[in-house]
Formats: sequence, structure tokens, C-alpha cells
Amino acid sequence: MKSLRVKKGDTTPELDFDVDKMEFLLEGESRSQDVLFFYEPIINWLTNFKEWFLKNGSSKKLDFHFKLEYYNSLSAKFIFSIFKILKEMQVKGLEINVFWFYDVLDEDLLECGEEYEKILGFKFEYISL
Amino acid sequence: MKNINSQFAYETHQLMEGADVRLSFSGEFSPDLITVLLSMAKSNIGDKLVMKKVYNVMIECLENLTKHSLKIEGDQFPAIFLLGKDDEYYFLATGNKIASNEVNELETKLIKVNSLNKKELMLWYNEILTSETSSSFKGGAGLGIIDMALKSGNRFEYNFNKIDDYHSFFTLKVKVGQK
Repeated sequence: MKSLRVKKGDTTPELDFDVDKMEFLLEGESRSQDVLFFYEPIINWLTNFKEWFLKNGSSKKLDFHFKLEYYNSLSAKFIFSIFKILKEMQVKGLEINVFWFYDVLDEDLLECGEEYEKILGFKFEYISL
Repeated sequence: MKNINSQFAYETHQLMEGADVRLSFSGEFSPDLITVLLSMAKSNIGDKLVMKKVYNVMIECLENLTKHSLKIEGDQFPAIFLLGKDDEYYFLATGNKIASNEVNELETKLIKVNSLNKKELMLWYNEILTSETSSSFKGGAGLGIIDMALKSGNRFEYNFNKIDDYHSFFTLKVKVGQK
């Protein structure tokens, strides 16, 4: 399984889903108006990754560094999908650590994380910057 | 024949200064322009907390303008955006042309958003977020407007101005409290 890397764009975040290190990163801003174009390949990759992992994965642990500073409402649904797939992997026995970074002043972003946690039954670790 | 008075710049200036307008644009909103407007807003607001809220609301506002402004051929002024300051609030004011038959649906939604408290808005938001409607994706299924209300923490002010039988001009003012 090949890692997935996407460079930062004007309205899209940097993405680095490193399969060898089992470290995922999403960083920057996500405010593209063509969210489907950006996120659909990512969701597809993740779905494949899940299947691959369940068959071949040897690692027991995945770290996900969520460092989005802003995301628009169009992106929210896709971010939810990403967490949903990760949750499905967690249920199958993978230890997943989600590190949710937020500016110490940005309570809205903290609350967004807490909502995802609540809805998905996840436990995030919050890191204030 | 149209003849613009030489005092036009002065009058417009007075109007903008009076409303403490920091940023404004009238016309068509391209993705490049939005990027510029956003970065100007960022550098204009000193208080970081307020800036973050304004930035968030502004992203949704500008998106709405590009998505929902009525496209009439040859029309160079489909929408307007203003960022200004009251005594108590930063405000984002938008205006765009819409088809008259869209007024009812939009107004119903605004009335609903304005009637809900934070907890109720969050419940509604989560309901849309978790529903399996990502295929009917046109416009994010209304998350944007709820998100704006949550970030703003204030009621929307809005108006529908009839242009003619088929067109209306929709204005929206979203307030963001300053510290």
C-alpha cells in the first residue's frame, strides 16, 4: 500500500498519510468550493487502506495529527467521513490516536473536535497552540 | 444617459466611513478575489479571537455569494460584500440577487436558524453532518448557514428587496462580537 501525499493548495490543506510510519497528517485550511474533487480520492484511498490494513496490516497503532486551522462547512462532511473510516478501523482493533491541534483562543475549533468525538464515540487528545 | 456626479467618490466615502467599512467589494466573486479578501480581513482585525470568528463566517458568506447569486447574463453586479464595524460588533453584510421563487424557502430557513439556541443549532448541525446525503451534495445541505449562526452567536438580520416580479435582492447582516 502506497502512502498518500497531497501538497498544500490555495484553498486546500496539506495531507500526508504515511503508511510506513503509520502517521497521518492533515494541516492548513480547507475551504475549497470543489470539495468533492479534493476529498473523493482521499476517501477512496482511505477505504482501500482500511481493507488493506484489515488483511495485511502488521502495525497496531496509527497516529493522526489533525492540524486544520479552518475548514468550511462543505469540508465538514468529508472530515466526518475520514473519522468514520478511522473509527471503523479502531473497532477492528487498531489503536488510533487522534491529536486535535487548535489555537488556544479558538474555542470554536475545540468544540468542533468535541462534537466529532461525541458523535463517533472517539477519544481525541487536544493540543493547544 | 448615465452621468455620474463628480461628488460620487465623496458621497461613497462618507457612506463607507460612516459605517466603518473596512473592506468592500461589489461585483463578481472569483476564487482568487475571495483569497485576497480573506487575507485582507485577516490583517485588518487585530484581535485574534474576533479575527478567527470573522474569518470563519466570512468564508461561508463569500461561498454563499458565489454559489447562490443569480447568474444573469451580462450582469456585472450580482453581489456585494462588506466588512464593517458597529459600536459593539464587527459585521459582515452581504447582498445578492436571487430568483423571487427562492425567497420563501430561504426565509423559512433563516427564521428557523434565528429561533434556535446554540444547543439546538448544534443538534441540527450534527443531524445534517451524519446523514447519508453526501450524494445530494449541492450546497453542503445547509450546514453553512448553521455554522455561521454558531460562529456568530448572534441573530441574523436580513431583508428581501423586490427588484421586479422575478428578481429580489437578498441582504444579510451577520454580527461577530468583539472583545
